[in-house]
Amino acid sequence: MINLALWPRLLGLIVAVLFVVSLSRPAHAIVIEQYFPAAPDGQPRPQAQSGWRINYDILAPGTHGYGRSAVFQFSSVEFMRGYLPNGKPDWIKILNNLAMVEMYVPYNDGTFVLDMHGRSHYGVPTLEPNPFVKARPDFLPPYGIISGKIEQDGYVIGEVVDDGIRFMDSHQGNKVRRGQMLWLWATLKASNYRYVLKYGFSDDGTISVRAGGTAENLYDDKDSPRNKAVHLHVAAWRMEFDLGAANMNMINIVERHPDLSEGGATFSVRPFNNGLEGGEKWNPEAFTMLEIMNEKTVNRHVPPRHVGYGLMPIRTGSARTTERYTNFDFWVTRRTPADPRRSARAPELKFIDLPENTTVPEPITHKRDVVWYSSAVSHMPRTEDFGPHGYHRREGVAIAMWTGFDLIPRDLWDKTPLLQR
Amino acid sequence: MHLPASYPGLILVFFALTSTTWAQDSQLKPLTPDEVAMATKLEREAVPELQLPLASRPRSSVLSAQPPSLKNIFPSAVVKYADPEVTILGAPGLVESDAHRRAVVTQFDYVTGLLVTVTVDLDAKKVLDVKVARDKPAPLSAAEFSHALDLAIANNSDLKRLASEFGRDKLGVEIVTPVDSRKSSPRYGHRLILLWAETPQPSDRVMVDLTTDQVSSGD
Repeated sequence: MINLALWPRLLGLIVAVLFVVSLSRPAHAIVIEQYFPAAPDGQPRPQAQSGWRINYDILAPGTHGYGRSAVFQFSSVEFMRGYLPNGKPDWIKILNNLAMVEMYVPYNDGTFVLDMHGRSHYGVPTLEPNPFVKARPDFLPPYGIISGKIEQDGYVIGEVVDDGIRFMDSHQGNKVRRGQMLWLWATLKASNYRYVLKYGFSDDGTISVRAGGTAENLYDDKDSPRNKAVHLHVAAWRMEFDLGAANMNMINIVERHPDLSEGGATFSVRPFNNGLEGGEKWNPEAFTMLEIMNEKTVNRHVPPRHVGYGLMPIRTGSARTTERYTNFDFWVTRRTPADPRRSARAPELKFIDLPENTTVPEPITHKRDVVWYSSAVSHMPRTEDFGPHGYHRREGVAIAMWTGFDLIPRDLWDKTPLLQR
Repeated sequence: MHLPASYPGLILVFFALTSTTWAQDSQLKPLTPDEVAMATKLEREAVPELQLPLASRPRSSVLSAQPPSLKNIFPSAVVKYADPEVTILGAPGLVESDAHRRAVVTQFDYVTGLLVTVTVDLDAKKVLDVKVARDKPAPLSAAEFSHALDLAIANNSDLKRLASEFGRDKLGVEIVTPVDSRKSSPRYGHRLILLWAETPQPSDRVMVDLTTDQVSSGD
């Protein structure tokens, strides 16, 4: 038995203990739930037809092994693809991991910079504690979006926006369904450059991943073949698919092969790199895409199909340099390699280690795998990067250029999503 | 009025529940100073060549070969390497809750231009893996940064003026650590630092070669 008079003191003590303990513990992931159709604040919200449940972190330097930069990491992405026959929301986990893990910047003079791996020691006095830019209200558009806010972490901005025509149904008098999506974005500070990292989550289950480079060029523009101001921004992402059974995913390369003598074309679906770790190249004439298909989880279609996602590149070229990690555009590795040396240092998190890690490739079929994808923009400085006189780097700002990819549902739904007939 | 005797138990249950929730912390705990010291000790024991001048290293060691761009720079008795950096291995959501604490120690070896990476198990106090690579930027230590800034101030009139006017330690300096990947380049394998002041006033960009202590224009 304790005296009631002690109760407030006990509560105070508990709160104090919790506070002290919380100071010594790492931060929590941010959890975001977004349902569609979305409505502006203050307006009635229609019944949800789809939705996302997303866990992410801005990982501070020193709290992870991706490199010395901070990292915008998603640790869980779930999608609600309508409702089950019993009326309950039909959730499926799509991803267990997604992050941009490197920004490799090769210059024409033969030098390069690695903006994630290559940052300096923690503790070098010039560096900010967290290289992500603190979000501010003026980063949000003044109008034109459904809703927008700075998320709890203070770095990420969430914008729910109209996404144009999702589809037009010719069987219903050209009835239009406008799409909506949630963009989560944050800005990585890399010395003179700023990289805007955007992740879009659409009402139909598509995930759009983009990286855009902006801010000040590293060098003044010069007129020479080896003009060192000319460079690439090669973004590399790491992702782990779940799809209901993370160790039952089959990863395929899907390509179109035109028959240029007879006409027509065939398409092929073949195991990625013959079912082994390693890399594959994107072929623009074959519309190369990656298919991640789960051999356990099926959709609600009749007859059912195995659920999957397609990784569709959005790119203008492929960066090839003397660095072997640029030999391929897609890479797949094992989450936990069988090789004891590799498993001892798993999870393998660095893009630049891929060639060495896959020297002795291991089977990837029905294993828990990691998909890596890199995509580049070629930045040839132009007058628009500079001021009205001369070509000095400080006089202007490089306008954002974008690269990335889409993850599109493949047999995830039971029918055309969001279509009502 | 008295509370039932079960209330302290309820408090403990509340605390336990809260603790369970917190166990799902999303970020890994940074390494403690003791863990950093342990990792560094294990790395030194695993790669003793790093403490030796080139001439004393075993011929069979990968840490005994120099590219042409590093020949005749260091006197044969010189030992020069950067302070190691120690990083936690793993990332939130990607490490099992019962996994050992592991760390990665990276260190740049000036005389060969190689980056040495050692993975250690801090709980078992043992080395798990050693890797040596070329063409990877190494972490810039605080001591190297300070030396590079001193060289830049001494050799660049713009930075010298700013340091004189505002004080060296008041300069907000940005750093980029480029790698020269051309094998024929005289800077191949060198430790390069591109630095400039951003505040209180922007300065010239200065390229410091810490391998040779040479300073050149970074523009």
